[in-house]
Amino acid sequence: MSYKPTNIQYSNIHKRWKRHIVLKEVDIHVQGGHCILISGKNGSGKSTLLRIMAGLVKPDQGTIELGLGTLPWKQGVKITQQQVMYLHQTPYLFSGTVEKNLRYVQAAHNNLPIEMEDINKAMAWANIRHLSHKPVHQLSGGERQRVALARARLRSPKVLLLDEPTANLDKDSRARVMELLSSLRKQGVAIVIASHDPIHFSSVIDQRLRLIHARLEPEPSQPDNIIPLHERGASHS
Amino acid sequence: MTDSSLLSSLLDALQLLLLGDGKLWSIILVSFKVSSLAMLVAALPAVICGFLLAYMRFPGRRLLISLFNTLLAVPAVVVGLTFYILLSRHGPLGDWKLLFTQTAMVLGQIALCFPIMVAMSHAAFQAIDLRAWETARTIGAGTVQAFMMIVSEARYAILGAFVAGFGRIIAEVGASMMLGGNILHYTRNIPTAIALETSKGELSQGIALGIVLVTLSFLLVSVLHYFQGRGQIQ
Amino acid sequence: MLRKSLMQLILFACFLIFLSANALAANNPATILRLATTTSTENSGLLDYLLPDFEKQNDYKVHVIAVGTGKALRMGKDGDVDVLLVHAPKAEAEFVAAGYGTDRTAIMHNDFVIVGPSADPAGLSKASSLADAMQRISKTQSRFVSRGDNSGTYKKESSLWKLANVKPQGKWYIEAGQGMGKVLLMASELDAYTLTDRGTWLAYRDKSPLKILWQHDPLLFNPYSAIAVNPERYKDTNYKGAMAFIHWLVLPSTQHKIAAFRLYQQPLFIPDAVQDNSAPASVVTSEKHS
Repeated sequence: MSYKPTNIQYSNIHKRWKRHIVLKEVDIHVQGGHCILISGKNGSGKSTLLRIMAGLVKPDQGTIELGLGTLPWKQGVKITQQQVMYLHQTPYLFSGTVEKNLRYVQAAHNNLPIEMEDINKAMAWANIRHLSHKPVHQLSGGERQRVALARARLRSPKVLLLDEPTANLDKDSRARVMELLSSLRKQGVAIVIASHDPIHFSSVIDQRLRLIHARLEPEPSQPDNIIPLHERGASHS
Repeated sequence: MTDSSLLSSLLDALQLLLLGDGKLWSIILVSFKVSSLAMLVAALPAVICGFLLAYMRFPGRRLLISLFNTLLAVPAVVVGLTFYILLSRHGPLGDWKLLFTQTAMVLGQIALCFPIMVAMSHAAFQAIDLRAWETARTIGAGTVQAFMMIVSEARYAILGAFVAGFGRIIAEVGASMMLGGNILHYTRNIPTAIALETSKGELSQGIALGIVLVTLSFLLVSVLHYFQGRGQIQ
Repeated sequence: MLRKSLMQLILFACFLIFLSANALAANNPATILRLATTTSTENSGLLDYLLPDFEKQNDYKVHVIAVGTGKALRMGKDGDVDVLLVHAPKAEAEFVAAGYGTDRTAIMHNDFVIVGPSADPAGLSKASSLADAMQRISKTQSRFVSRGDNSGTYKKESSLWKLANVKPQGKWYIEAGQGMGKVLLMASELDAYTLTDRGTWLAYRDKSPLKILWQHDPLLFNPYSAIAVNPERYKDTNYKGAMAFIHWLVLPSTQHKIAAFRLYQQPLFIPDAVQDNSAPASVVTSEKHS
């Protein structure tokens, strides 16, 4: 591939809310084209970890290692913020039409040349072209999730963090979202998914981690962790 | 007062308005100039304050919120008196020589409309999901851009805050009377003129100005309702 | 980064305030003359009638701030105005004696009248003197509406009660705390007596069932003086303008104009600064009433 693969190492992340320790000595390594699944119970800190990685929440401690070397959090996050994108469990869409939501990415990125053509491509990719002039409050949950993914694609992040991306979705929409994720992964985007219900992601997962007692640990191996390559992508057809 | 005199005052009033009585229109102009200027200065800072109170966490935030809510209820005359004492040549800001000028009126009116606009835009921003801010940031918007996106999300409620702020100052007598001094062609605005004309017994003038104010309030409230209606559909 | 851009916004807002303040203050302060006067002179239309001439002949723009006499004196004391045109001889004398003002000059007078219900329950028409009239009101416990503020009218009223040796109190004595027009409206509604300046009365008489029951009494004369605010107390007051105004007021031509002023076809002010035979000898000769 022609681009330099992404490689970000987050190390020694600590976070506490008041007296409650949420994250302790958490290390996580994301790389392009690689998909990590973080499982854990509700409230185990998965969202907090993703939000910290996205730069939306400040950790009490932590460092970021990029190709250049290890940086303190404050400086490191300024760089990663440009590359990392976080998707909420239920995506927030700005009031107006689908197209307007994508145009917002264009407006926000006035240093990046995003053309109408790119917007159309992103909509076609997420199969929402027919919705482009629909007001977002008329969309179904699956459609909203796809708009959010199209927006993410338009933003073209190097790392995509997804918080329970398939919760509250019907089977069809879930399959669509999974397709889109696997296509992003093939394009070399690093993906981190947080889910308490990891069963749906088998087709794209490369690595499974579990948040337990504020620590991030490798998931004990499970049968579906070793699905042979040829079966991948078929499980949701 | 008898019915017939009320009716004749009303007719006189309409005549004054339609025939373009110079004095009357100068009063209306002063009202609009002063209140619009106050809005122009106060609106953006008020929205920013409302935004900070809704989205940022900093010590003293709750105290500030209750402070603004308290200021909402402070009568205009108290605001007027406070500024009068400050701006009187005897007072601490006396050297600015602002008492009985339009600037003094603008200052008083800023103090009156600022808290209501902060409180209402704070409520407007609170009604917007925190995810909106995060989303704006994650799709690459800078702070100012993200702020503008959130303002756009809350635009109808913020418009409501502006209308309420303008409504509070355009019809306010106490502060304008004290700070402006009710000087004809300079600081006499609609409310102080109504107070003066009725005290003189010139009811037609008072009614004519009252008609302007009522029409204006009606228009403002209609605009507000229209936009609030649109906001609900969205 | 957030903090920085916010600071920029806040600074920008401050800049806007500064700009607008400057734009508004752009009227050159040297040419503005601030005149604190009583509501009676402004409401009667006298100033609207006189001032354009002064502004034309001298290069000043007069800002008229019409308030009660007490407030006007207070503004002079605080240096918030340049010149006063008020009617409270005793308070004026104290004001000048205390060094707050200079160049106190008698300009003109109008007069007060006592109005009351046409049935005249207190029998003012039978009173032998003003003091007797006041005593009759208190003796018969007839309602009397008082300004109850710090106005020249109220000061006049207080002096009349003193003259009559009466301490006005009780249910019949109503302290309104309102301007003259409101007090007249209240007295009309309550069928009460009140003391009013003639100018306000002329404006209201068609709307009021009350009538004049005592007038043309020298004790009810209401002299107006002009006073310049002492420039030694506040250096930046427009003393030059104040003196120009006072000198202009006592010019024969101005005094003529004051005498010629009519409110509802009635003369209202009698010039005091020059002896002038062409001025009407008494304030009012015919009092039209329904």
